[in-house]
Amino acid sequence: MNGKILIVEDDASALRLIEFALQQERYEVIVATNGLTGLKKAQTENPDLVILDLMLPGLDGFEICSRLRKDPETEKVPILILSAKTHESDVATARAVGADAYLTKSGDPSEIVAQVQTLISQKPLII
Amino acid sequence: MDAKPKMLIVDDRVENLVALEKTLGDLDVDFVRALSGNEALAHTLEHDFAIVLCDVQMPEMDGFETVEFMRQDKKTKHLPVIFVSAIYTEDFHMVKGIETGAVDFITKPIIPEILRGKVQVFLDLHANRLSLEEEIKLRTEAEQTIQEQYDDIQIHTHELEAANQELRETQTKLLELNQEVQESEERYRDLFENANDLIQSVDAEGNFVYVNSAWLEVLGYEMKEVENLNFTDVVPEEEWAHCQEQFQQILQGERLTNMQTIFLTKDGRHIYVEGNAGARFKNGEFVANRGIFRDITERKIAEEKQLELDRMKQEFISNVSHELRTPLHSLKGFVKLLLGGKVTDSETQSEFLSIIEKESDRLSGLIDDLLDISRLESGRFKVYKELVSLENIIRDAIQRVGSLANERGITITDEIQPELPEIEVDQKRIRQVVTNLLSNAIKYNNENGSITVRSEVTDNELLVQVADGGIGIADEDIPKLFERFYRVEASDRIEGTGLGLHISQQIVEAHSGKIWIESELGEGSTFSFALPLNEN
Repeated sequence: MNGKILIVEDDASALRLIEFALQQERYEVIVATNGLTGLKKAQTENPDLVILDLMLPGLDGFEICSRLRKDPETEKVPILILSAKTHESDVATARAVGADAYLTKSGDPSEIVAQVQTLISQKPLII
Repeated sequence: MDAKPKMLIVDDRVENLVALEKTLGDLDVDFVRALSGNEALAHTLEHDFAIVLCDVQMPEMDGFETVEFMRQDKKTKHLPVIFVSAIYTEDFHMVKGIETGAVDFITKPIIPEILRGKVQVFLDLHANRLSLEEEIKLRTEAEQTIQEQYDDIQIHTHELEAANQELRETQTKLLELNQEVQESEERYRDLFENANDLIQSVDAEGNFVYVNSAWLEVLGYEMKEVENLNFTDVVPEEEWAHCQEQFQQILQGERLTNMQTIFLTKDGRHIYVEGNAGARFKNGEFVANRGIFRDITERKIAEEKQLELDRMKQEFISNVSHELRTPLHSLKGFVKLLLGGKVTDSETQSEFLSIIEKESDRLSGLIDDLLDISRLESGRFKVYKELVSLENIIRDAIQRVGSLANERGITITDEIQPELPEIEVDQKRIRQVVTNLLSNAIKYNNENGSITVRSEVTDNELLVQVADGGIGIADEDIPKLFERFYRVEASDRIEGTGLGLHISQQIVEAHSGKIWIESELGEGSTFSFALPLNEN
């Protein structure tokens, strides 16, 4: 296994697509379809990377990201924000709340896989 | 009369003159002697005589000739003359003009008593004449004075009359002017009082001095309350600083045009006004701050509404593009996976194909919504009615949102009254309404929440209710829910276009039905709609 990835995404189809693409690259994938579950799984499942959708019922992606950065358990986990929105302000907010990368949904799963591989390889090894 | 009367005595012999003076010595007169006619005439030029006593027989010019000369002179024409002669009186006619004055004769030898008597008569006559003349003179003078005074009075009277006339004209002019001023005042008062604009006058301390009827009407005050009002009473606190700043500008003589502020009515409403304000100065001293304002509340609300609508449209476009993109991305992604040959087992292939179908349906649904809105906006929205079972429609709708409800762990319970009568509606459209209400109830519900769908007959109507135990809606937001593009404030991160409820309302109203919402924040909401059973 290359690593454990948590995907927080409420759209079932989008979630299945990312899950399948990552599984093909031999990642272990865990999923959450709303903000609260996502936050809990990030804190308990010890993922190597978290993929956050922005528009989520309950807690949104920015809120989860901000909370993960404040928690010593998750402050270092790489976070990739995925959004269909291309607003400059969203990119800036993502940076402000501590996300490592911001990707606009394009429909090409390989872009996500490539971004995930980059972030995981940058992660310092914990001995 | 101070001077004694003068008597001219004429005789060529001095002893006769002396004798005459002696004879007449007791009389109170001054004697003037003349020894000839010529000398006598010379004396008459010099003196005013009361009487002449003249000898007739004299050398050169006799007494008659002398008197004849005297009679030719105006001064002596009437001078009384007593001739002293030995000649008889028959000869008197010889004296020309003698009749013009009093004339007497005395014959020689002279009898003193007779002479004195005759002279005395003439002296008395003279004295009377003099006193008469004096009186006449006085009277004439008095008359003259009276005449002059009368003339003066006449002149004054004319002047007074002229002045009086002038006064009358001035008075008339003043009355006319007064009338004009009064009419003008009335005109201005009328304009002032009946103006639709709010007119006010405020002193240097911000206390109200005067306002017009429109002002009272809009702000809800009585005229008698105005004197106790300060600008801080009629302007909301948040505007005080701004108002004071403007007041300072006005005090410095600036005139503010198209300034805007807010008035606070007596019952606490906010009135937006726009207008002009400026100070009135008298002899360089500030007197009052006058303002004329127009109530622009409606315009302001319309502007804000327009801004809100523009904002909602902008948000709508952004949401629509997001809503269209999400299924499109999934479609693209799964097609890419399938085409790339990365999905080898047939089970996963058919799973992905099902997803592709579902996402295609979702896209079609969105496009249908957009087309509905477009039809509604252009008035081309139509319903096609047929007799159908509402129960079937409701069950169909519940099935359609089934997977969405499962994803969120939400349970849907139905409480449908048995044997509901069939109803004539556009099946597809009513199912659209129920589906929309259900999907809202799912999206805005709590995790693992529940939804109850009820349907029953009430008062010849078919009632459908969708009740959720979700986040609820604030009272002030309820009326906005049916506005197109409106999305609840907290729903930034919840998917949707903000069209569903607006479309649902239009559909229900096209069936002569009504749709409404009851909600309690944190408790959940109940969306209801009722359709008439028998339209005929």
